[in-house]
Amino acid sequence: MVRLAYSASMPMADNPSDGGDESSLLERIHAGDTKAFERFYGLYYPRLFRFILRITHRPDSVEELIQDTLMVVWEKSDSFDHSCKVSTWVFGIAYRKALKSLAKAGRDDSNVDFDEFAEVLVDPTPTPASRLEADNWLEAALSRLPPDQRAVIELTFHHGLHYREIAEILDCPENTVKTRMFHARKKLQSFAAAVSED
Amino acid sequence: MNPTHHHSDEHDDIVLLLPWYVNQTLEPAELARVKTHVRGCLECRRELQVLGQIEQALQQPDDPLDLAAHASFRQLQERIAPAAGTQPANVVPLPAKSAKKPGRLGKLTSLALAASLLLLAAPLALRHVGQDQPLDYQTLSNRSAPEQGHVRVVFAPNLPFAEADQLLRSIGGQMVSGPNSAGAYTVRIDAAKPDPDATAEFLRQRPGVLLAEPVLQAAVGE
Repeated sequence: MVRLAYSASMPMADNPSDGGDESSLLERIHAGDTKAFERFYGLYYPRLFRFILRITHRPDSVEELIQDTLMVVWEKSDSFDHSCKVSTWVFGIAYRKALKSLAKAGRDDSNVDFDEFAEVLVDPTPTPASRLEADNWLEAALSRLPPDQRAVIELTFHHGLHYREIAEILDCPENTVKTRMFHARKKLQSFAAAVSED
Repeated sequence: MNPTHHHSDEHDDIVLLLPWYVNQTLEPAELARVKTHVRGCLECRRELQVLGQIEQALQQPDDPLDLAAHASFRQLQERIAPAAGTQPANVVPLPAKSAKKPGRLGKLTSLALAASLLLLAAPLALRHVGQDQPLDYQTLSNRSAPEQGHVRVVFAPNLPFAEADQLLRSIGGQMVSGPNSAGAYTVRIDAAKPDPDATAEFLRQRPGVLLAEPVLQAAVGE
């Protein structure tokens, strides 16, 4: 399981391995230390990349959303009130920005983007990667879930968070997290059943 | 919500907790409840199997995306106002809120990275990048003579910078510019008679290289 407090391997990052290190980085960022911000950036870039892409399924906006999220960290580090982990705060920012982006684009059914993307890129010769993707029923199923359910799935199973922390990130009641997860599970199972019948 | 209609309230509560039993984040009291219930509930045990499969499928580690992160940070730096006054070298004032957004080129980088992340074939992603942006890559159908001793290389996003650098050194290559917004480096081959075609072909065979092409003269030093 990939925990939110794990270390990144980016050379420019200093591999802070826990929330304490991230908190100290944040303090330095608040003081305007760009080196600290660079470290923080390297630490969060890959995590936000995956998280935002999972929610939006809009690869054309991932880079912008990562930068917008980390720009908030740079500009408003003093707004972090230490009531939660640094990662919870950052992912909460990213989640809200991702949802706003989807709303602005007028589509929260994100199948369209990757389908369009794949159409543009389509190659008549199947590659091992494309075959693997076609076989990956879970990716296909996840793409059919609404963004809020995808976020719960991702934060639970990839980032290994407790539902309470997910509720903080998504800014919703804990029971809502459980409910979203329940409905997501049922949809995934239905999709898996449909695939196995084909 | 009605998780089940014919079970007890305890079962309904436990069913909702199973994902966090699987990811091992339940607190002791919840954990004890779930363990006790699951022992006697076949439905929950089956559910756990499915959830375990989902977790396993989603557990692949994050791609470090080192090169992409470097390029992205460099781009963001452009949004940060330049240092002023007597502050230390690594301290800059907070950026203006009207800082410009990442441009089209940055988005195209993400398209390529996203394709890599979601296991789309890398050559296809690069082809897409090439459609929207004049990257100076040559097409097979429209080639000119390559510039003496230069190739353009795109490394896999997860290739550590040190390994990319080591690979280039092994062929007498040296990065002279880049990465550009699409993550491409211009590499000069320091040899008596450099052969960009052969060098590019060699690099294409390396697992950490997504694209390598000789560079036209006009494109060098972009």
